[in-house]
Amino acid sequence: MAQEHVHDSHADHDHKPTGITRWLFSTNHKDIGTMYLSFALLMFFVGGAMAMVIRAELMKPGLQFLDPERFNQMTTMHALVMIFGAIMPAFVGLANWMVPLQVGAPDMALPRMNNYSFWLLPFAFSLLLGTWFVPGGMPAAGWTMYPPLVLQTGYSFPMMVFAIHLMGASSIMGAINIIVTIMNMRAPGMTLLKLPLFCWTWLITAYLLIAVMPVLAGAVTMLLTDHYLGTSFFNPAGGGDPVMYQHIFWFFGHPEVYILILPAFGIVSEIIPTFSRKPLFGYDAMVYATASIAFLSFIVWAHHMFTTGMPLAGQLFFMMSTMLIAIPTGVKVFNWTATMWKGSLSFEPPMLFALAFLFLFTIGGFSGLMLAIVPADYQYQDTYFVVAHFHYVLVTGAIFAIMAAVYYWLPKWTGHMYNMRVAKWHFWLSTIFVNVLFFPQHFLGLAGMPRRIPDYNTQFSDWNMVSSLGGFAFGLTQLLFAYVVLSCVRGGAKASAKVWDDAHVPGLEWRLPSPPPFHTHETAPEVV
Amino acid sequence: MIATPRRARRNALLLAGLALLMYLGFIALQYARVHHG
Repeated sequence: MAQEHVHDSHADHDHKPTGITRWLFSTNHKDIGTMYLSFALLMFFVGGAMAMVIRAELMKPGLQFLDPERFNQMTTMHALVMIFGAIMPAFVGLANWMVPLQVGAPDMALPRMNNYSFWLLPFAFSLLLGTWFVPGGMPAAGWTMYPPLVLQTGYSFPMMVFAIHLMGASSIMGAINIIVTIMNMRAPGMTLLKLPLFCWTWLITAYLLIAVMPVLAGAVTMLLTDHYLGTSFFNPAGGGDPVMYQHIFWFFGHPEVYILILPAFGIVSEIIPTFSRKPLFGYDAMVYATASIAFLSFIVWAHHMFTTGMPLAGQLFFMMSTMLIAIPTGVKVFNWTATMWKGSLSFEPPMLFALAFLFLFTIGGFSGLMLAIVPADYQYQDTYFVVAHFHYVLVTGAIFAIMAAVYYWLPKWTGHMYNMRVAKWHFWLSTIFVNVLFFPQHFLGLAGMPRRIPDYNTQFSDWNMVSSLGGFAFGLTQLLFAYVVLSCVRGGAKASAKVWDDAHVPGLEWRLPSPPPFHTHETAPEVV
Repeated sequence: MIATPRRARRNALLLAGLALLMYLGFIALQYARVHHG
């Protein structure tokens, strides 16, 4: 009888609510993580479809499919959807799933707020994507929303501003939840310098989010009052200054790009030791490097605005501070390399994506250094070189790391192994075609092709054709990713608790069965 | 379920306060700049 009772209460740990209410009213970090990740995947394909339209238009000189206004809408919405709809929610979804499992907490610290954080997003993006149907079409002034141009857009303008407020509120609440979970919910013995690197990078990212998302919200609020309430924050006629908007935007924008990459560093720092069968080289240095990058991200913003007219001292300061970032980033790259040194390496899909990240993100880092050089930036500013740079950082950096993370933890989440063969095809085709897509854009930029134009001089034809073909192939390849993930959710060979059985996997998540029960760590685990 | 520690709630409120301060602070700074700059 007693045994039966024990058995019953154990079964309760895995009791899940049923039906739609399981998801609508969820306070479970795993379900909310799944919703975030599903939302991010959907937005990845929405933003990807826009990218395909952009590349179709740019395949040949002249106007093929879009008028210039619709083309600008595509580039603007592609950026907003990918940044705020795909990459950020994917990282928050990974944090939701993994942070409580890794720190030994039963759930996020504030589970109801967690539900609210997620459910703001579908409303935000319905509003943003709904601008397709309003007079004047979607936002078209670029994701940076510079005045006075953005103030000339139609009905989409207030919708975009409100959508950004909702996304910002969602991000801030998510960040607060992650910080208090890590700071206040760790298992006994889990000191800060024992935290898995993924938690460390997310902790630092969450502080960045709380510091800068309100600044973006403030900037777009001022745009709104300039447009509708007659203020002149950015209107010179009333004593304002449009360049000041750029300063405020990039005070948000530069930390924002590190928000998009620091969790990726954490993911790679988890995966490389696992598949090298060695502990991470220089754990403490990795933590301090992450914190240094976060600090530096606040004092480099004006490198986005070298050509707006700035005192020489300002240019020098922002050039030097930007170059300083190479030091902690170099520490990381060398530490990952040293982790692999003399390791017993194996090349499963997570490791393949992490390695591609290491090589290709570094290319994005180097082109970033080139852009930091003021006199050279006068040439590169607003060319396809910049587009190539940030796509190396964000696609082969952030998105490759997200894919690595999904391939790493998917068997833990679902309890099934996925189709390794198709996953490896996905890796190789993605890695080849992403370079066909973005590497020629360096050449186009150096030759002088400007960003955000639907038509171009015929001298740019060849590389644009190559880039477009690479783009279509890269886009199609991502269907393999969706296939691998969805088929793994539906079934597959049983995954063990450690998943990567012979690998070096120290994290608390690997002590739980695969899939973990609905409620985990109800009794805090011991960390030695 | 283990209850959320009281410290976590207090810290969450402090962080939310910081976010609000950044939001209103940036707007106030700009307002001061435009009107008294």
